[in-house]
Amino acid sequence: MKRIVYIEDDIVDQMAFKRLMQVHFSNIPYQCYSSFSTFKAAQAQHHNDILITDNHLGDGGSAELIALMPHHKLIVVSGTSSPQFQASANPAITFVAKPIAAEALAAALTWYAIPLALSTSKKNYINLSYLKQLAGDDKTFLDSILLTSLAELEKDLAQLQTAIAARDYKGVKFCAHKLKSRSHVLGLGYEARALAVESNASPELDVEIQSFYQLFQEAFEPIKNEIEAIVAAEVVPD
Amino acid sequence: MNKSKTILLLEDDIVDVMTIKRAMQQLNFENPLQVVSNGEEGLKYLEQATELPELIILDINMPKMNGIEFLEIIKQHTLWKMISVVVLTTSVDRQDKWNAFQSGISGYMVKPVDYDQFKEMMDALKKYWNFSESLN
Repeated sequence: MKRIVYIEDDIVDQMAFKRLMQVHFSNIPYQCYSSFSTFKAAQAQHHNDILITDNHLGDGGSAELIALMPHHKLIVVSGTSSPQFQASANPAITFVAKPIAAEALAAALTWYAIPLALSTSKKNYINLSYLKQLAGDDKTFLDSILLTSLAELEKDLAQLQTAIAARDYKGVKFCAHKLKSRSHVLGLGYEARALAVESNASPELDVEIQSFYQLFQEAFEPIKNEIEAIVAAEVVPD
Repeated sequence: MNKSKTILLLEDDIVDVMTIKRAMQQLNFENPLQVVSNGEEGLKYLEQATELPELIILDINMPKMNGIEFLEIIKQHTLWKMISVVVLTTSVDRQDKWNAFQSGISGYMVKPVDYDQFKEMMDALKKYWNFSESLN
């Protein structure tokens, strides 16, 4: 399983990160380094890990890390907005502002962790937990809300595509709001990313917005297949 | 709550409407429910209604005219401003909440992610309005 590696020289920020991991990502192992040099000494252990670094450490920073591991995806955290522009020009980098909001970091982590998990181990997109609460044993209602959600998801995706093409960021935010609900109802696990786009959509985040769209676009056909299979079944699946 | 009077729901998301209806049905709400999908339709409903609704349940994030814009209009109307409005939203944005209370709402409910909690919230809403009614 991938680990998350956080390079941060500020002890308070490290503590906040550890708290965030405990609350939101307790199933993912992580490791903190307090300087670039200590990470560099151990870098060979982390070629397959998700890297998060403060932009400016006492002995290096994101630029040195990119030079050290040029083909590695990277989450950069900073109190200034300049790395955000750097990130928008480099699809391998994403940016989280300091002070780090839990949702923003959660979204950035999801950005890396979820697609990787999807491509390897995730068998189902849909998690019926919420809908089972809602529908109970009422298969007719379950089918109805699943098919309605699917139809709405298709509309939301089409609207998001149009909004992206028109660089209509208000429209993008609105679609992300809708997709957040779809994700919640269908148990897709994309709420944090949807919230990040809903809250922050702007020209600086075009790369992230496009990736967010692709995430749903690529998931749509498998989701459709799963819903059709559930609807075709005679009973509510376990 | 006067059980014969309508509850007006402003909600543009069909799935959310299904969820709210489901909860109301399971909680034995007896009031007729009228659903419109944005503020413009809400205003049109109020203009044409022969009797004002007992309660308005309002989503914030809607196309055309959003919940806050709708609130600002009805709270300037001589009669409509008397209708109790409860915001029901997924928005945790403080500005949305502040704007809604500035416009004179009776309550602001953030939809829980858990359906059983959502039902408890709707049940509390029903009990509160029953209590308010019993005081009249």
